[in-house]
Amino acid sequence: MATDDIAGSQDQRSEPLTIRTTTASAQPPSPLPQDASSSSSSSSSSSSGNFDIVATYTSLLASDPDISMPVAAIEALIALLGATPATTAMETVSVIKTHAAILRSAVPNPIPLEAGTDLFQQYLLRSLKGQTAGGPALGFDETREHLLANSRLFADRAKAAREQIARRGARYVRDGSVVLAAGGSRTVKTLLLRAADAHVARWGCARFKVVYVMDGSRDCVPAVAALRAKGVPVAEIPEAAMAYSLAAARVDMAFVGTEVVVQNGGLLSRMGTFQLATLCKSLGVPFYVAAETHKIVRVYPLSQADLPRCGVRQDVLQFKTGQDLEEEAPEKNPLSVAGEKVEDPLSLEGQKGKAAPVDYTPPELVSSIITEQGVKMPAAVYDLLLDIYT
Amino acid sequence: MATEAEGAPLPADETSSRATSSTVPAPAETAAAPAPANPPKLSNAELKAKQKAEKAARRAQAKEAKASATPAPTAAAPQQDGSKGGKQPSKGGKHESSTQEQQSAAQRPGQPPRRPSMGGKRPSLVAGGEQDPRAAIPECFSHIPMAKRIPTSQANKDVHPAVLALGQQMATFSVRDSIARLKYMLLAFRKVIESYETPKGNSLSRHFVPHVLNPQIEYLTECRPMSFSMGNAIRLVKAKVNKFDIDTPEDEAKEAMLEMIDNFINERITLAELVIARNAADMIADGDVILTYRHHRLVERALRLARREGKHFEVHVVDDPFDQTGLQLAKVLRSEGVRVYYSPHLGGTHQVGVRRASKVIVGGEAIFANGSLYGAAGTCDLCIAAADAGTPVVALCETINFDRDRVSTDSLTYNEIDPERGSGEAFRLMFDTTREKYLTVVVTEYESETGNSPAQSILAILRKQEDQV
Repeated sequence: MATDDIAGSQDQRSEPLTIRTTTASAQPPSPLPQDASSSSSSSSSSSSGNFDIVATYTSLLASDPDISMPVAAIEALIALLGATPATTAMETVSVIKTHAAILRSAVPNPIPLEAGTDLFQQYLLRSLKGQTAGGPALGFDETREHLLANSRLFADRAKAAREQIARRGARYVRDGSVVLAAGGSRTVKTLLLRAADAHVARWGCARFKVVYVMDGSRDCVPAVAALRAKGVPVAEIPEAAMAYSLAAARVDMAFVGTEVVVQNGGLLSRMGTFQLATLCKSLGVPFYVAAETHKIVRVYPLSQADLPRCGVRQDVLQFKTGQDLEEEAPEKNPLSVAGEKVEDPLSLEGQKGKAAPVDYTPPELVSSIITEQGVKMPAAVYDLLLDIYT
Repeated sequence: MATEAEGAPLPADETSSRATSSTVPAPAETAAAPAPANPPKLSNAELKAKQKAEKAARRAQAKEAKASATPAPTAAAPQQDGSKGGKQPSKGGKHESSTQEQQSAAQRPGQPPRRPSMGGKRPSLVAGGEQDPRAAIPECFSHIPMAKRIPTSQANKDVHPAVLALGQQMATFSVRDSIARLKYMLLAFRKVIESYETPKGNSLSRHFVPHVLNPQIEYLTECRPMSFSMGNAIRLVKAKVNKFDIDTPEDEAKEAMLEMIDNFINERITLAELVIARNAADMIADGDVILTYRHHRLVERALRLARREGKHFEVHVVDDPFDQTGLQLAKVLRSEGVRVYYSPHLGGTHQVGVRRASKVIVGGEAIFANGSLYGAAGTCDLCIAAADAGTPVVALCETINFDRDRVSTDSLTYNEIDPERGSGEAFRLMFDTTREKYLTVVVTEYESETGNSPAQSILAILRKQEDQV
């Protein structure tokens, strides 16, 4: 009943997990329990050799608009675990590790992914250790089943975190506040909607205004629409108007989301975050970051120039003379970034085609990071990280 | 790695040979020539140690001569000498008596008991007739301690010969940086433990620390103020002894202590150095220009490792004109094929070097609980200049050098006066404190990948380490 060709057999019922992740979208929790049981029964003979982790990840991102990159990576790895016939703990770990590496190498900016894959591997190792410490009575199949169940819980929790962050962050938006929000962060959108709800519940209307920086990502427009639908006055501004608006609208605080939070409490996020943070610092506007703790990643950039060492492949700065341009093929756009990686629609959260370039925001510019575990100073991120990884 | 680990016991022999040989010439200050007594037997290492000790003895003699030539008030009140600042006649004189009274009234008796590792602990064993080398230090710096040669004949009789020798080496700076001092101290303690026998009617857990270990520590502290790492290690050793049951057989307890010391040296010194070098080398990328200050063993190791991995980078060594240890680093790196720029002093590097550099890598003597870096004097200048120019600063430091209790925001609360390069008019501080905000990252050995910590968060590492013990 088990099949060798998992990725290819999209309609085979023997591997429903793969089918879910590659074809259908939406609710990850519901199909999984049956996966756990059915795959554990069939796991021994199926093969993970053909499991296409990249395709799984891509379709996960494409199918669920609410999913973030680390979570998509984690779910892809869970799918892999469900499809893996590995019979020992070490084998499972090494399969996961290999596929995590494949996934990372497939995208131009692997760091957001890394947050997810690292976290999952750490979790897996811990569970396996815990299981072995518990006694040899548990068979590997049981262990694996337990892991699948727990992994699903983990992914759920990661999604629930956004709600908790919104609840914590909404308290910052007070009567009469003017809030600047930038980019298409769904966490920030949720946060502002939650704040609007709180205002409506208390005063009957939203008593704060939003300056929304339209940076071209696809989530900006729906976010603005949703806020306006709740009665929040929103001003849309282009990126170039950030400094002007911060001063002219007397903005009280800025909220941004981020792709990842790095080891020192800084951010690696969509290009322009550093710019906004610098402006906020110089204009004295608190700069709040809404980020789930699963976005904390074990990367420590030292400066913007240090990003290539951290695994970011982008090519923003291209110094050219007129002669260089003449020599170049005319179809090449000198301002393009990250080459022409059209095959990576997954590596960005907004544009189609190219990897969105990122910049590094040093922790000095970040006022606080709102996580589901509380509002943290940037220096406290390292504490959280040690709690997770040691 | 295995060889590194096995390498640890080697210096033990070295110390012991040094120990035996340098205890011999130590009385040379008084009696002239022990050297020709048995010349053929000495090995190279012994010869070297001997020369060092003799040189130190000569230096001390010279200093003594100089000191006795200055018209400082004598024996009766050595502490007043310290506060008087003998060669500053005009302003010091006015307030002299009152301030002195204040000081002796308020400071001396009311002084809180300091931890032995730092702070102005007065030598208690100094003979009355000795000249105080602190005579020239102005009163406002009187809290800053200074290394001091104590004739071995005047040391406490309980001090073990190995520790006696080490004390001399520390006082003369032939064992110098915090980790070397820590390591040799532990190796000397090994000998103390080995030769220890519990007196009748006592138990090791009650007797060893107050009657055997403490005199050694006191002596070492008087030779030179303890490094933070030594303080930390002593705390751990004492905790270990305290944990022994009162009935623990002596052999068993000694064995456990020796094992603990060996493990300690392996993990916190030998392996730590490897891991830090590894982590720091990973931070170096092709095309980097690395700016560093003086010579620090971790920095050297990291740079050489990166070079051996085939990375192409340049190094700019800025040196301290008073103590040109950076010269050696520059030579070593050049011989490994690294392009090296060398500045003999800090001047000018602020403008050019710091802007040209892509990373500044400095080694630290210690790190305070608030993340401030305690490093060779001049480190702070470089780090501030780097921060100003937007160049990231990487500090390398073992976790054993972290201080979990004390914070420092300036360079005068904790420091040491250089005993060798001082005159009546001027003296030199050996260290300075770099505020945490000027450090981009602190590279430690903790859990390899995760050991790169923001300076503000180093306490998190200590907390984790304690949880794991």
